[in-house]
Amino acid sequence: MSLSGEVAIVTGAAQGLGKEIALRFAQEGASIIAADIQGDAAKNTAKEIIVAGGMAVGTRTDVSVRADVSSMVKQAVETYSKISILVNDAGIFPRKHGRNLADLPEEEWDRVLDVNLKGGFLCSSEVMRVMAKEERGSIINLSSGIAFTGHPDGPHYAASKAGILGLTKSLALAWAPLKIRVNAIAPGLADTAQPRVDLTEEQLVERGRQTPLGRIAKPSDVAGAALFLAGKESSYITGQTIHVNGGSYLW
Amino acid sequence: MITGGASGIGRAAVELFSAEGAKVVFGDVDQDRGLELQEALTKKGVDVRFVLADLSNDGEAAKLTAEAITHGQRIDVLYNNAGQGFQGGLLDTTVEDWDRLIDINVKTAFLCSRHAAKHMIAAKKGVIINTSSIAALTGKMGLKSTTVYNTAKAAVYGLTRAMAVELAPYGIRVNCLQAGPISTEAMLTGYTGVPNAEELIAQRVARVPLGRFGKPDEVAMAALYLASDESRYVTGTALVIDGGQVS
Repeated sequence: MSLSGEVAIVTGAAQGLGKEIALRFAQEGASIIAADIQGDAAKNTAKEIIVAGGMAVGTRTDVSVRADVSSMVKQAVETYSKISILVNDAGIFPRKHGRNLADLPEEEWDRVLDVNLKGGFLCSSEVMRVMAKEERGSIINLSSGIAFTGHPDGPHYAASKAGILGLTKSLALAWAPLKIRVNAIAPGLADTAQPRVDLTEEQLVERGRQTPLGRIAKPSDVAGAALFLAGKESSYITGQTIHVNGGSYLW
Repeated sequence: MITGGASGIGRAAVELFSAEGAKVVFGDVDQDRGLELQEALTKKGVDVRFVLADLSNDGEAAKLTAEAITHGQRIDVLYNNAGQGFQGGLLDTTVEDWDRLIDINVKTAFLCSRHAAKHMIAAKKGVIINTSSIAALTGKMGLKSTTVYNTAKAAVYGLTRAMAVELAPYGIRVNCLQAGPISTEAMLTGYTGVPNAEELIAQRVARVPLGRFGKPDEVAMAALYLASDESRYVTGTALVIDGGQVS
């Protein structure tokens, strides 16, 4: 698989899955715009790519703010003249154990939906205008296994990630005539900093044991699916979701 | 090990997997085309073996598996591609049609998986790819009702999930492909002799958001993803390759 000559925007590229995807795409030859609300960390991701011999720029972007998204897209076009791949990875999952969900602050609900769902819509919309000129492109949205299972402490997160699936299918249908493919990835619990907010190392291992393949996901497992969806290998696939979950919820 | 490899999607997979460096052993009921493909690839220096086999017969599935082991020493990937379409509804599907189509589409995968899995379990490693279809999700494929085909392909999806759970402890992954309309000879043959074939084909294409039928190698490339380490945490899933039709 190769992304040589491609230009990819990856949001949420400061850490976790987004960073892994950015690094992998760069390794496969793509030029990367690493975007994140943590601008310095996004620039560090870009620096890592450049040190490894790749092409990248880092940019501070709040995906829930259209002006930020426009300027991210403008920067991509000014730097690399086109955009062929967009990975909507930016997402948040604030959680506080032990609270009654009825007391979940409205502001928190709004923020999660703004970043996780509206962010995907805004980035896709702005990028689509550029992709449309070449009548070619692949958009990859990060959903989650939680879209299918729910989460007792994350109704906003689950709703946003299920919303991503509706967005994925809708954009796939709308933009198929432009040869822009839109797909989603639904990872299971992944070995990043994020779940460690409320799970111990032992709990992470135990959660892995509860999965048919016996472990939780590695970021590179998710990057493999993203790479497949980004490249020509998936040229007849659109509107779909790849489950990278080690066989979860089969039993 | 690829079943139904002499033509269509299976043939594209034999060519692609060979090009990616795999030793391929493939089975098919079509001796002429199987030998022709083997010869064409061998001339290019590719290490490939054809085995004439009706894989709905347990002995012949065992024979193909034994040949794969003899030739390759192990089986890393089993791609259960053999299958057949069928146009017919509840009332015009005979009992014989039913048995034959379930055998070709479901039993072949069951038998080949049983034989190959024994070797994979011993090696604690392996990938099995089954051929379901978007017919597992819809109520019709193409021209007419396709009752037994819908049933068979849904059964393959169930077989996939059950095998994924059973074989996961051995590091064996099992997934299936669900293709939409792919421009294979077998699919286009369904329109032979149909008076308004062109119009019907145009109508069918119009239902595909990407605006065209898929190509055999587009399914083969999805199989390649599922066969490779890129999908090492993917098991029990169905990968839909349909140009957006069922989305």
